[in-house]
Amino acid sequence: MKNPQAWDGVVIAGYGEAPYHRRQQEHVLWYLADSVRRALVDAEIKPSDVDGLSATAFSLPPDNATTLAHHLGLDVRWVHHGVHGGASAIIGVLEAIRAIQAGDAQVVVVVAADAFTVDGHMDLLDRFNRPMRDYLGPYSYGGPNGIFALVQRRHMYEYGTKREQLGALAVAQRRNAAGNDNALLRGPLTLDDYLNARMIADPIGLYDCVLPCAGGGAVVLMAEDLAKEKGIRVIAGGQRHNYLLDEVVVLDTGFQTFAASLFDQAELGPSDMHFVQLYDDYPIMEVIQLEDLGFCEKGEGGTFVERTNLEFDGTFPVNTGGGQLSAGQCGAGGGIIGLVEGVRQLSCEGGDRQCPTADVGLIAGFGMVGYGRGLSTSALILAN
Amino acid sequence: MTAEFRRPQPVLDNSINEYFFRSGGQQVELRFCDDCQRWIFYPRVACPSCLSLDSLRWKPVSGRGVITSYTKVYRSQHPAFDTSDPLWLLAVELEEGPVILVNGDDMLDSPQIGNEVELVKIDIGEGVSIPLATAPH
Repeated sequence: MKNPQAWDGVVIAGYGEAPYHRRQQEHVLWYLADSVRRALVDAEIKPSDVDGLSATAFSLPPDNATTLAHHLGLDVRWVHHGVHGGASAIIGVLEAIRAIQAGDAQVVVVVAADAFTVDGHMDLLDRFNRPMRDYLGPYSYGGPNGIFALVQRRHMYEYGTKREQLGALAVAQRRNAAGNDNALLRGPLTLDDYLNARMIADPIGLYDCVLPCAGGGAVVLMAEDLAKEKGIRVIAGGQRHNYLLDEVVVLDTGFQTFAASLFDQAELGPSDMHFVQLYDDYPIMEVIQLEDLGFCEKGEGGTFVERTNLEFDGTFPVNTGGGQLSAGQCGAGGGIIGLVEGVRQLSCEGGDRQCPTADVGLIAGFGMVGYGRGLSTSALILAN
Repeated sequence: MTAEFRRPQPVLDNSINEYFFRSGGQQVELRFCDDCQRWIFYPRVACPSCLSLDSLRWKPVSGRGVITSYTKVYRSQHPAFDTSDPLWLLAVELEEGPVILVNGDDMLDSPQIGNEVELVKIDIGEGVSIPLATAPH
């Protein structure tokens, strides 16, 4: 399969992140609006300049991206409603670039946000999709925690992955979060804390799980010739849905199908990345992303994270703002936190967690949990 | 013996989930495509291999399968299970091929990957029954 067309001619001109709240303080539309407003201010443009919107929020219905645009006062030529879970925001960026390249839009905002509590998070499962509602609902399955417990158990069985290795990710990310004043969990986490925490769905423990919260993020994309200053560019991108159709407990994700293309498009290799922002709903899924994106061999992800300095100033920075595991997961906003952090790093605005070298990085998105598995994968490489 | 609890009722709003949860008696029936000769789970309106809508029928499976993964669910997703002891969630690869996710019943103890299990149906009220996994006879 040949590579997709290049992503030239479009830049990310601004970003914004809504405050993360442990307890929902505002309507979901507020977190969406605040994220968009901040991104527009950062890009130094007015709402009337915007002619495209991509929006993702699990709690958006009965609204949708079009009615959200109306609520925000955006008269637009292009609308995208993300339905790919945590993979949506990256996909929104890739599809926005295509729209701008084709001349269907000039200035597109991509936003993802949610206003969640733990109960609200579990309530969502009944409305998430039919197979989960119908064929998992009558069982005690633990929501996504139980589903990814099955994945982790199998990965431990097949490859000998250990909880200590997964804990190294959680611990390193929490150190990165110390430099992120929007993260809800910034205090240190030790490996003992991780290993001894209560079990949620064995072997998934408390610190394997994200804290559902309220928040959001947004980026602004525009045609290169409109940008006031040199922006951040997407130099590679890919997505895949439903790879290995018949599998239920999935250890081999869609990333395997486009990882080679991603690095080929960028004309770089995995070791050229100055950082990666992985979709961290669970450390086990980060390990699987590292394997399937080609940072290490299949089955070696546990060893890789155990032996590598993953901190923002280490040899292989991962989730430099702490990731969802430290910041909290604001529902669909979990799919944009890595993108916003990547743009922040490439703009040299990482403050206390700025990577010493940050000119190119990979961002991954994952989600849309259906019957026993995540269906969607997406990734892009950014450069300044 | 696990403490008493009432499982959440499935929402039965179409002919497919109605059939799966209300029919088949003691046997677990899955959709089967006569054209592809393949078994399908979760039940669908069309064959996911050939997209035929007409060649599908419900057919009983043997009920026998092997555990491919498992977890003990300490924090459930539904308050109905708050009064229950933590239940096992199992991924069972049926003899016929599909993988189904079910709880273990009271007789299932210490599941391991590779263990053989059998599906049994339990009545959860309102004429609805669901498969659980038990140790084989």
